[in-house]
Amino acid sequence: MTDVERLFRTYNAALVRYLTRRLGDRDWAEEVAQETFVRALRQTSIQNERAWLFAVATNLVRDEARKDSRRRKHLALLAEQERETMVEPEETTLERAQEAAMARKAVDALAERDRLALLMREEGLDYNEIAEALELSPGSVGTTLSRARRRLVESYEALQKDREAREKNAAS
Amino acid sequence: MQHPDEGMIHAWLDGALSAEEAARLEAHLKECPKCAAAVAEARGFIAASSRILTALDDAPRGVIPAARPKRRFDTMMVRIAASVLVVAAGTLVVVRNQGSETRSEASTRDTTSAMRVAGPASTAAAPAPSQSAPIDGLPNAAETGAVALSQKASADNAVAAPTPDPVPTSEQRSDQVAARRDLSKIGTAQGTGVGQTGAGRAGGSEKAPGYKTAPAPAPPVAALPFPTASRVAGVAALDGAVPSESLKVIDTTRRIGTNITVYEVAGDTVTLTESVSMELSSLAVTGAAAAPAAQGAIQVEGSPKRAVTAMGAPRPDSVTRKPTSPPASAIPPASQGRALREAVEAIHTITWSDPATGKTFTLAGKMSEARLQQIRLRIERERAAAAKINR
Repeated sequence: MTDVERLFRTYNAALVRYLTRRLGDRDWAEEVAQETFVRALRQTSIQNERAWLFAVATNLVRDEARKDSRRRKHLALLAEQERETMVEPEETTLERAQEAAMARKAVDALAERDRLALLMREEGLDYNEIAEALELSPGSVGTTLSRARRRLVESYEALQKDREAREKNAAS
Repeated sequence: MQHPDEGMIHAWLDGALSAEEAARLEAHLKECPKCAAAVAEARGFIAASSRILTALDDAPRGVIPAARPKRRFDTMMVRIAASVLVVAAGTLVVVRNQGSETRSEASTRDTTSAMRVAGPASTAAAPAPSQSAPIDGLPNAAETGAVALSQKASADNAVAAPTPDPVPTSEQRSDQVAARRDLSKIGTAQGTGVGQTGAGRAGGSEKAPGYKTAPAPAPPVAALPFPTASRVAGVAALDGAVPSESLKVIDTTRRIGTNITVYEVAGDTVTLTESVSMELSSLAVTGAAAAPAAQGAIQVEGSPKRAVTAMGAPRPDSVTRKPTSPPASAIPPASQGRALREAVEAIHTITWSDPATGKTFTLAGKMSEARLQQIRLRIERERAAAAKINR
């Protein structure tokens, strides 16, 4: 029997943050995290707890996203709304929301594996844990992460430039 | 050494290289400005991507509306309810006097606690409750509460009211449980959930005609200007349930000389105020002779002279409900004033004192006094049990 309470206390915050960043919805993230710990409850023993938890959570998201088209529609709607807010002219008031929207867009532009590896790394998983959770070879994690980071930053900066250009156009 | 690739640089910065690999890379960096620049760039990417990802942490809640467990009561609701109670306590005196005329009529058919709720109003003002309720099938949201009541009334008529039915059958219980689950789920749509209970209970072994349709108007109820009104009706319909439902403390407030505890019983909230004021406890002795439970004095706040009768047979105290029976189409749109009055009327208060401690207790809730008495017994039992444990 796994000590789920300890697992929960140790990893819940990181897992919820990881999932929130992955899903863009806090409630959903908490739901998936809970389900993950419920799964842990059924395990007799877990080798690498953190890698296991992140892998299960990732799979839950993937399975659910595949199954639940309703949610996907909502996500698409959300993404649409975010795109719309980006075109809004009153940008000063929406500064922060826009940053989040751009970040969301840049993260969404990553390949799934790159995105997950990066999000896991941000929660402190080491290369071996990431490799285990994503079924990668440990040697490829550095390459995956470097590519993810570079692409994330580059697409974010591109979005920023677009915005600045639009602001300039609007001003002139 | 060959120039390290970008992946290796990131691995080194992430502390993922073996000591040996790291040493080799560090040695190389000292003599290769190009790779040192690549490291600087990598550091920049790492920091920037962390910062970008942090922007995602303000993710909204509930973007995706799925069925999620909701808290049964939020503290705001409790606060609002508490403040309504304060107003209601004063208002009751006036409203009660108005309602006393209808009471005599009602008393003849007053057999079940459910009838005490539905009876007076429907007899007094309703020409044909039994026709309207099942047929009109839940006309509009504003009338939900009324419908729940009239359904109840009609169902009682149909099932031959004279049989008192204090203990619900298992079927009825499950209806209540279901309704309670609805309650916890729907929040604002409580009226409907409990309305369903009313129908289920009143129906007894045969299903009440309105039972199936009762859940239908759930969504519109959310738009009800005074959701409490319909809720009140539903709550009243719950009266007489066996006192085995769980009693849960959902909020406590301590002030000097006063403790306020909010309990949740079967989806309803009651507020227990505990104070040590001597003045109050002497006042509360008024109704002592009539207390059937023989546990201290009981006084019906707001109408002391009625306290004596209050303890006798079940009586239509909860009363002056608005006329519920005419088909919804015939009713003018429920005025807000009426809805408000209804809400206020259904809140009752009982007061008693504990001679041992000199404390005065006031229990208030949107339900009949008889039900409050039931709950009071439960609270006292639980407190006694808790005190035993503490000793």
